[in-house]
Amino acid sequence: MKKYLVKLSAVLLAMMALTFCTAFMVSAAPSNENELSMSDYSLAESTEEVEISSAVSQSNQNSVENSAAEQTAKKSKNKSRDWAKIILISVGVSAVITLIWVLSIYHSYKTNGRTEPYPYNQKAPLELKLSEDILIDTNVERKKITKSN
Amino acid sequence: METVSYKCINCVAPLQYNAAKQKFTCEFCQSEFTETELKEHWGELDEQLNNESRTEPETTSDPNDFNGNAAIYTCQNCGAEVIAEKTTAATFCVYCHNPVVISNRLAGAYKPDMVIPFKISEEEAQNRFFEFCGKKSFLPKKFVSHAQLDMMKGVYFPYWLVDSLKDGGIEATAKKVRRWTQDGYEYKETKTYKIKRQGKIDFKGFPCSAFKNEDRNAMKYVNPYDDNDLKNFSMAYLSGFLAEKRDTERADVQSQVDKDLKEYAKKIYKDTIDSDYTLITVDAMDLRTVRESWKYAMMPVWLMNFTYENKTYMYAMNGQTGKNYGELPCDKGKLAIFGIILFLILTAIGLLGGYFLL
Repeated sequence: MKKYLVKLSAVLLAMMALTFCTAFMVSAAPSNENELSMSDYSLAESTEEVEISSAVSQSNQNSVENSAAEQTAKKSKNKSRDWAKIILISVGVSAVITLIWVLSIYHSYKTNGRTEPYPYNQKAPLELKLSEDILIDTNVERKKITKSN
Repeated sequence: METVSYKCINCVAPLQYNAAKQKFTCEFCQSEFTETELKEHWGELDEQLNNESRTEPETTSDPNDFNGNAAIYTCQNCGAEVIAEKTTAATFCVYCHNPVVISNRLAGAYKPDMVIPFKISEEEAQNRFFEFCGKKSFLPKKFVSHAQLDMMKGVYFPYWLVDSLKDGGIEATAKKVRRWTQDGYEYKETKTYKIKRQGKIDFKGFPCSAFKNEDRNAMKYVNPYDDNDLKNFSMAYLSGFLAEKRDTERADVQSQVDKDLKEYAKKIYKDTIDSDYTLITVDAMDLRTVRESWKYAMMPVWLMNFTYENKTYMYAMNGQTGKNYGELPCDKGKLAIFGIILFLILTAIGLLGGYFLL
């Protein structure tokens, strides 16, 4: 019973680790937010130019509309890219965990019952004649704690 | 070739040693005999056989030899001629299934000093085997079949039991590390110690297989046996089981035993060092043998061979304690299905985790 509980908790832990690992890797992966802000910036710049310039043409207005549409398209593209990352990470992590699990099962079949053949703790008593612990060197290292630590 | 068949005192049918009852039983008249009763009746013969000073003639000089690796003996029960391998010391007649002990293979220099009789009966061994297999989900179905169980055989294997008194010690270097913080500083103190331990270690009953034909790993890892059940050798215990005589002399395994005992001695000395120390390095070790004695003993093993995908696997169970050892076949198909299911479950969990935590 105890063995099964240990196994079950190991499985649950592995699952939790996998979930958090996926979430962490997705959040830590370089996102396209910077790219977005850059496009926002260029958008604002172009809008400013539109306001300043008195001789603004209809074609420029069209380009603003086009860039807004591009932005929406980019956002949806980024979302799909995030999903691609999630799938890639999930598949990768799952493959590694599965491989380790399967190999450990296979290995356990090869070495089944391999335990200490001679219980030396019980069958080989020691009659200690000399027990000596001599201090030969003391070294103290000092390091200033920095804020980053 | 001389053989012995232990007969029932009442009906003269062959006797077998019953591991469950720890008695000698007759399958025909259901009589049961204790070791003492049997000794009173067969003692004279047993003693005479055990005290024979001659050694077994080399098989190559025996006219009954079969390619130098086997020999022919005559069953005392049915008169059939049966071939036994060079090292076989106890077997069954293949025609009448009469248990036979080939006495001159266990006489003289080959006479074992001690024996641990079987404590686990065939039925119990089979039950334990089923119980063990129940926990192994990836065993091939054929491995757990009844046909396979019929191949399980009780064998007495020869071992050397070494009693060795060693004197010596170790010199080691160990470190104690302490960390603390004070006034905005982090301190790390490392103290180095020179450690010496000296003393005598009395190794008792260190086992070493005296049989090289079988898987030595199996013979090693069915150990340990409980020495409390060691008895003076009597051929009667072999009746109803198979037995092998030793084919390895003391000189052949002496260096291996010395090496193993040195490793154990190192562990024993190291175990006396405080667990507070980190990084213990043994710099020097000295070990001398004060006295040593070797005994030749027969130990019980339930053995089973299994062929799977052109490879033979050996499963062994300690006939006294029930401890089992064996490289087991693994059904790769079952393992692959398990791997795929596990992979799919883990991927699904990963995807769900990603979806909810985004």
